[in-house]
Amino acid sequence: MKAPYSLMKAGLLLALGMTSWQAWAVGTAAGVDINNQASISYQVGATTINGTSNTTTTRVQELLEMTLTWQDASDVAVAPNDTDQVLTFLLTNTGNGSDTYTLTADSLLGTGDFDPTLVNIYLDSNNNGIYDAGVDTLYVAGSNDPALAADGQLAIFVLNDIPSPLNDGDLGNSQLTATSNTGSGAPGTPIAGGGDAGTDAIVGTSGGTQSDIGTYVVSNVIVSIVKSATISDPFGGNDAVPGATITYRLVVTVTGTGTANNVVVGDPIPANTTYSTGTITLDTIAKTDILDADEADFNVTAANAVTVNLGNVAAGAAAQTIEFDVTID
Amino acid sequence: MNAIKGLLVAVLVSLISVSALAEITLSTVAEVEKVTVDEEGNAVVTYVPADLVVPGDVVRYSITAANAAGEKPADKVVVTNAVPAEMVYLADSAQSSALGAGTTIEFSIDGGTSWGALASLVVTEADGSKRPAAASDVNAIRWKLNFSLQGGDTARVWYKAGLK
Repeated sequence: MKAPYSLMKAGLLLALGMTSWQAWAVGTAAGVDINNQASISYQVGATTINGTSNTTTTRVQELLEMTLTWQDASDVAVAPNDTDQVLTFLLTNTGNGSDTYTLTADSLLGTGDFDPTLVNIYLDSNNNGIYDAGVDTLYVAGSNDPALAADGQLAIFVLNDIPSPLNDGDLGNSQLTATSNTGSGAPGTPIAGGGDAGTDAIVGTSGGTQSDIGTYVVSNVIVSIVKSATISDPFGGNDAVPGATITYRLVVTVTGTGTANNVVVGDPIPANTTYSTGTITLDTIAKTDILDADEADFNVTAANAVTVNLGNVAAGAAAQTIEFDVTID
Repeated sequence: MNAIKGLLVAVLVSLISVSALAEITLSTVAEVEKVTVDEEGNAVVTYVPADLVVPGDVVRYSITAANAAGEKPADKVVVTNAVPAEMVYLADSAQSSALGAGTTIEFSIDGGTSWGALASLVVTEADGSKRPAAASDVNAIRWKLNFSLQGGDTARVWYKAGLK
């Protein structure tokens, strides 16, 4: 399906390095004949005469073009000794004919703080863009080289093991390379008979081979909670006597690198004390005791306990303070 | 006898006018633009026969109208060419060897139904909105010679288009 120029964003075209008239995702298919014939009309005296020219025929050859890009939104967080850690790449046939590709991965780049250990390359056989262990197909060079029609795309996964020991924040790189089986070389190199429909193939600006590098980051996320208590007795003092109020304070801090996901803080009410209804605060903002849109509840998520769901907390985020009161029975 | 003479004259006149009717030969050449860089780093543009092209190539279509020597002058000569569907007309590339003598170049964005200067054409989008036509909307071009093409004279016109 060809999209008319008016639907395309000029900025996108520039980003792709296209000239303004090259607005089509897929070029004219290899093997198409483009015919052109001009016509003429003129007058001799009062007589109008019409004529036509010869017809020129120009055959479209296959242009080998491709892109390969690392897809992960940011460095993939790993821990020392992790296995089968996934880097996701996207291979796109941007040429005008079908092609197959040989894939190679290189994890011995020596460019980061550590080199991961290459395990295997997998093809996204169910086309969901996500690595599914046991579902996606192991790539074997020369056996199941991926075939892509013009404008076709395939996600490719490179799996590595992570060595040990490593420091927090260390980076490790792994490179995937895809090379056209039709041919590669300097742009403009012709490959006689290599194109679809018996046409020649011509190596495009991609050179028939493309590489990109994905990066792992060692992420040691540490969630620490510091708990303290303040007692105020009914007589204006700080003695732990029946009827005194204990205010518990939990300060939650995330350090290291990366993000701690689904941080849930639970604190059971101690024996011989009773939770004081409606006293939960998070960063001094009151929260209800029921399980609702706010982060906290009492005696719902866990019996006789305060539960606060902080969600995903990035390392280095401001400390969060939870407070609630109990009374001594 | 006079009637027969008259008939002969009529036949001769019709023979002459038939030969006069076939006077202009129109020929089209397609060439692909190749840009190379010379030893001094300058871009050099050459044109080679466009038998084979790939998407992104620029093709120059040259159309030559030749009025054979000794033929009568041709008036109101109009050369018309539809831009192939796989091609995109490149802005300002329509030219004529006889611009000085007067050639009016007109464009059509509706396959030759209506014509005008590109700036005068308006595209109606599917949603009913209107916008000025761009070079990429052009699907036919015509060159109107504002002079008589004499016997033995030629006029050459051309344009460039990119392969989608």
